[in-house]
Amino acid sequence: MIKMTNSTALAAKLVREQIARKQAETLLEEKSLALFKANQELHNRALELADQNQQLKLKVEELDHTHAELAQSEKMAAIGMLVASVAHEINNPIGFITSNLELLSEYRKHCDGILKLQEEITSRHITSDQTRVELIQRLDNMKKEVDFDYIQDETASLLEDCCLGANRIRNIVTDLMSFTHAKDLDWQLIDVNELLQKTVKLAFNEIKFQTDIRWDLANLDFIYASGGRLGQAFLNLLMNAVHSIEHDGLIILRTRMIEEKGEKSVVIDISDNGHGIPEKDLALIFEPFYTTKKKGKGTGLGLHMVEHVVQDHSGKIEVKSTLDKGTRFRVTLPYKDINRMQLN
Amino acid sequence: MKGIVFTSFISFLENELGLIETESIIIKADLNSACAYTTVGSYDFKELLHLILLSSQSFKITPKHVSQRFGSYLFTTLTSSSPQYVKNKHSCFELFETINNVIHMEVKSIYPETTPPRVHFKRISSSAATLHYQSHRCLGDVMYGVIEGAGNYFNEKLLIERNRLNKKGSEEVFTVIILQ
Ligand code: HEM
Ligand SMILES: Nc1ncnc2c1ncn2[C@@H]1O[C@H](COP(=O)(O)OP(=O)(O)OP(=O)(O)O)[C@@H](O)[C@H]1O
Ligand SMILES: [Mg+2]
Repeated sequence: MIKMTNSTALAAKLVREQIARKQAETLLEEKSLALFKANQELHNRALELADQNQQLKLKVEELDHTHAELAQSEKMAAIGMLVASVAHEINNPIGFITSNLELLSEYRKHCDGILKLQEEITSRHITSDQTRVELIQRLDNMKKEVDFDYIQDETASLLEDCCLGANRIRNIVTDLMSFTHAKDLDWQLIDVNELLQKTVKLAFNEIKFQTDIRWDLANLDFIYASGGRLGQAFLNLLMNAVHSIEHDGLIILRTRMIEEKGEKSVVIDISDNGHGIPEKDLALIFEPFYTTKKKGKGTGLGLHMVEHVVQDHSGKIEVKSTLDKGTRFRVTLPYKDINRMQLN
Repeated sequence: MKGIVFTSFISFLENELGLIETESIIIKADLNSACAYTTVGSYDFKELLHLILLSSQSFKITPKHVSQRFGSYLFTTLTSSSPQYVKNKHSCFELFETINNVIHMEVKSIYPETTPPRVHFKRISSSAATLHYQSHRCLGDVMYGVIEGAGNYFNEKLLIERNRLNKKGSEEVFTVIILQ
């Protein structure tokens, strides 16, 4: 064994340190390379991610687009349905108005001869009683021939039907208009009680005679509202109530002012003792085109429109119904929001 | 085991025994690494055991005592290379509290190839605590020294009691009492 001296020890240490340094340098080299690779990997991943992100964005855009298209086609379908049912509704009365008018012009032709004869009889040229009697005889015969009494009765009824039909068309058109009406046109301070009374008067023809209307009205502050649209809404609720009743009907119209959490509102209840609504259908009745009425009888737009109108007044509509017992629709309209509206 | 423990041991030898004696031990040890350690490398911890054994002859003390003295020395190496762990600490207990959940955890996450010992700290009173040591390397003697080193660093006189939980010494409980 070599004798260790200070200088051999130093030399040995130097060699050791050199080896260690090489080792450290190699390690550093390796780690740098690994770091570089990791960095590159990271960069690639970032690019990949950016790419995926881009693709996701495109997908989202595509989805948005499809969604918009779907919404549009849904809207078109809804409009299509609306047009179809409105066309049907209008076609019905137009059908019988047209056939009534045809019959009427037929009758008028029959009556032409009679009118002419009548004119002759009343004219001053005829002086001889003989001729007059003869003419009256002919008139009677002619009247019998064309069944004049019948025509007279029939004409009245045909005309009445035409009026009814025209009225029905007018109602449908008003219904339709209420969807698109410029919303801010007829906002004014109105008396809800008075509006209800007007509505009932308007619908009186349609209210069957066996249906009683009972009033239970409280003193109300005037409310700022769109009178026309609100009236339409009440009319719809009233007509629904009327249609739910078969016999011994009772419709109660009730108004109240309430105050909840410092907010004043007017509450309007329209109750009937009609056939009621099955619980499972309660969620559906406000849907557009939902109707249980016979084909051509209802559009199913009534309550949908009512809900719209109530919402436009920042109000709410609730319904309570018991099958075979009756239904109550409750409309609550706040004063507060309405006052704010007034400021605008 | 992490290179810093080995480089620390070599400079410990140089400090205590001098250059010539250190190089003689290294030659005698005839290790794979030729003791050309770097702090950043990792080495077989059995080389450390071997070096402790050989140097105990030069120290003329038992390997156990070499390990303890080295532990003290290791503490100063570790704290001067990572001063952030002792900064703002005023007592060795404050430091011990952070071994498991801060220091050795960070070591493990920066150098995944390392397996630092688990050192669970439990305070008994303001001046007494236990350190539950667990390591497959069974370096309880070094651990003892590191604790002593911490006491010196914070100028605290410590009473250290050891209690082996198994024969191998892979699990030990150190009870540490601060005397003044
Ligand atoms: C200044 C803060 C400290 C740092 C940076 C540190 C770092 C390290 C590192 C890097 C190792 C090598 C681990 C391996 O390679 O697997 C180690 C081992 C060790 N540490 Fe710490 N440590 C610190 C404080 C402490 C304290 C305060 C104690 C005990 C009171 C301690 C006890 C030990 C022991 C006993 C080992 C030897 C390995 C073993 O027993 O398995 N350390 N430490
Ligand atoms: N008061 C009520 N009692 C019982 N059922 C009702 C009442 N109001 C509404 N409904 C039910 O809700 C459905 C939808 O009503 P909505 O007013 O929207 O349409 P509609 O009355 O059927 O048709 P439209 O009002 O367009 O003529 C009705 O078909 C009926 O089944
Ligand atoms: Mg209706």
